[in-house]
Amino acid sequence: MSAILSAQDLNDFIGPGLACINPVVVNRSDTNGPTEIQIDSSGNPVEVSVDDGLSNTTTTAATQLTPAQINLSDCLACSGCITSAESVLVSLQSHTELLSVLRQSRKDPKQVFVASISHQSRASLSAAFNISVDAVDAKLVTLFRDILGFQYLVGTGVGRQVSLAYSAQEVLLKSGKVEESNGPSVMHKRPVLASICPGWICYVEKTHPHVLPYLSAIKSPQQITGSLLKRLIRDERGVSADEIYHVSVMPCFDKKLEASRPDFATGDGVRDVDCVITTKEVVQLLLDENMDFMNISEAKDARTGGLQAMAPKLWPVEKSWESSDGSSSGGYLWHVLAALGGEITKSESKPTDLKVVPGKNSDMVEYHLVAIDGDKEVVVGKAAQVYGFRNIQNLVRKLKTGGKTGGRTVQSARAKKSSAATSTATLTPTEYDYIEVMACPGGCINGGGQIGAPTTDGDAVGLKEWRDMVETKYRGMRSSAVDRYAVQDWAETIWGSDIDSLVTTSYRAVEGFDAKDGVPAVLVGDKW
Amino acid sequence: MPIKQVHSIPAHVDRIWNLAPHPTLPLLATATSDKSAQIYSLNTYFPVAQLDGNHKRSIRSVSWKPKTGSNSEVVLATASFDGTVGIWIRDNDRFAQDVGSTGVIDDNGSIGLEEWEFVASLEGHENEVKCVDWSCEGTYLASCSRDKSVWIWEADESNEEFECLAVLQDHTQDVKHVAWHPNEELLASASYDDTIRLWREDDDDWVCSGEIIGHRSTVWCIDFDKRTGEGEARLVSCSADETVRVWSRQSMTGKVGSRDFPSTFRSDPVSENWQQEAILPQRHSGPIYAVSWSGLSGRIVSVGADGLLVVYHEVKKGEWLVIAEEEDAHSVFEINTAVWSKKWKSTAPHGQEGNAEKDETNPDNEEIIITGGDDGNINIWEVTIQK
Repeated sequence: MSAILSAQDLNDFIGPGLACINPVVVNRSDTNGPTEIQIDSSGNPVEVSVDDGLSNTTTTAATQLTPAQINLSDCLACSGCITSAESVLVSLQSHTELLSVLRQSRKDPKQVFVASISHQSRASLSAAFNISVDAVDAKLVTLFRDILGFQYLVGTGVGRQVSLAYSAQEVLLKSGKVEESNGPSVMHKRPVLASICPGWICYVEKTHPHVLPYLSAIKSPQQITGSLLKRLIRDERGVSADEIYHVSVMPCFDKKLEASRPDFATGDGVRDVDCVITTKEVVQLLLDENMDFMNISEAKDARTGGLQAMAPKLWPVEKSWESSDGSSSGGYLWHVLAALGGEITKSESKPTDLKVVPGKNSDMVEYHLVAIDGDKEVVVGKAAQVYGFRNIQNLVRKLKTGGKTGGRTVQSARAKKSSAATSTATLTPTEYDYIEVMACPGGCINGGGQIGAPTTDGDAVGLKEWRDMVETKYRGMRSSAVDRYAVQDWAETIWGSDIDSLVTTSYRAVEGFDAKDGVPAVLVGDKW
Repeated sequence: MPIKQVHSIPAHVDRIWNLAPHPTLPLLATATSDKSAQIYSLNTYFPVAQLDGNHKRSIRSVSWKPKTGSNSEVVLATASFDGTVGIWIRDNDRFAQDVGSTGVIDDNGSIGLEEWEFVASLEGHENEVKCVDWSCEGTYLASCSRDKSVWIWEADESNEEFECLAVLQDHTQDVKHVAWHPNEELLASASYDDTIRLWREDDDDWVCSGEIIGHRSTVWCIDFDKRTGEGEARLVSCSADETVRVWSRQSMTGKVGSRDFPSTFRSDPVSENWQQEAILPQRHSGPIYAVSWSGLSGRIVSVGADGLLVVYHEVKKGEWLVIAEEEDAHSVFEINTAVWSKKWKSTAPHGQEGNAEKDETNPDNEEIIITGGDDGNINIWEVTIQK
């Protein structure tokens, strides 16, 4: 099985735009008069002053020119591509970067290495190597503890439970179902749109700022896990936060972008997540070190104290490895509606049920929360899963126009014919309390960083079948219910009163270079 | 040369990018760099409407929605460099009456301009939209852009609300042209990446079902053979490599349309195999911008940067001859578009209509070629083969 990482493999489904248009800032001085750029004998570009006949300079000083470099922060601040330049991501947050940091650390034994693993990555490894998720976990212990020398290894389940609990509370507050208590203070419009998909966030910030007010303010499991780990490990080890290096293993390349957001670093540059590697990079990392995931042993003590010993003392270890109900993208919609249903049952003492209304395609599904009153069912809440770029397009367009595509008001002569009642749901964002939005078709389980379907003869599996196989592995994981109040109590005990700083974040429009002059950027060599 | 120019309309000051005759009505739409589209009557060659004020940059392409079934509206889609697709509907209570019938010509030329309504703007492409095309039944609208993507939209009955069904990102460069098959729900796209790709629906997703590699430079325009039998498909393409090529589908797997069993049991993905059938006789020197395949005569016309207009005839399957050629068809200007159309307006000199031998099977008397160029003119041509 081959999972070589290359730029061509990056199939995060909101693709990058054209070429990089980030203007490079040149620090130039005019003291040397006019200059021109030449290529010297060894092929390097040099800047040479030109004698214009006016200045008295006789020496032609050649200055070596260095290549312009675009870093991740430049990408985040630029509207040129929808997601960032892949090569930038791959070089700054990659398994090779991780290996070089690990080598460096041998000189500085104080550094503490921490890894957190997403559920989707474990399911992907399980499917790719045709072993159980427990076996994957045991191999991960061997890999991170014994081979790479990590002191900590946890699943992202705890961060996810915190993210789910506060996401549900946020929607309840918004829908007026519960009173404002000491929960996170957030303000936005209905419907609440899930914000844990970084590709989606990047797309909104760069191209659809009108959607920003709808975005959930709750941080993703990756970032909450990072904040909690750094806080707990700092306290229990007595080290400073910058001595803790946190690696997260994710199904998605855009998680690298998320980890690089300035919002997720403290003033002195300590990040919640220092390096994100994708599932397929885990495989590649081993290949680079002449090992094979299949051949590394399963740590025998994984389930008998091994995982426990690899977690901070106050960490709910079981919960961190367990999955949760609902979609394989984290189950956000499911938990929001379950919480909504719980409140309705509590206040109106009616049982509730969840009805699934399929949409036009498998990536668009509507859910109706119904309260059961005798033999009557009343819809009390609506939500939808909207995955994939095509469905996201319809979502952003409908949020912009409030349902209408555009144009003038229609004359009565063309009054709309009432369309026959159909069984499929059409996207009606204004009716929803919550929308679980993911950029990838199929959601996170099908993320761009997941291991691809086997392609060798005999083993070849179609893309859809492969997605189903990984989904089945995910469904087979043990899962636990999210007790919203217990999770919030735990988080507040660990974190203290300023819970906002653990669970909320904010988004902002990234203004395009285009927007300033009203003309789309045209690149050299472009052709119509 | 056995081709003659029968009319010329000085339509625009700016260049004409694209022309589209309505499939069933005597209407011609123009796409121009003056940000407007104009509608001409093919009965009179007079303008009947000007669609402007909504696009912020050049209109690059126009496409008529076929009138099928209960769809009684006259609907035009416009693709613009402003990154949007516009949808326009004719106000059926206020349109020039002569347009709907044949032969009534208002000699003073002051035809009351029709009322058209701009009903929808489809946003989503990142930048210049290069082409739009409605599918055979008018169910889908395809658009393509410099952003390298092909989008498929579905309209509601009122043509005002559109759902995006697919964003296809397999092309590696600017996508120049999209065209639907005349009776299958099969889409073809042509690109600056030198390839043509084919797309169809598989389960609930649109997928790339085939790729045609062969051209050595940008493929500017493609058109399907409208006379192929059930299950068959051929298309013609023209390129900056100065060739016009005909391709035919050899085989298809993962037969679509069969919904009897779910896709999980169908391991064969939708795919089709296309082969080059012919390179048409090479006449052009310079990029060839447009081709059109006549549904009536089966002839092909090509035009390009060299100002040459060439008509090809298939003597037997895969063997093509040039039957007509016109140099400087738009004087010194490049020709951007050429399209076959039904001949609505009689061009026979007065008094000779009755004498002319009526040969119903001779397509020369029934079809015209319409070309548009950088000079802003619309030229109308008839092929006049002397046998």
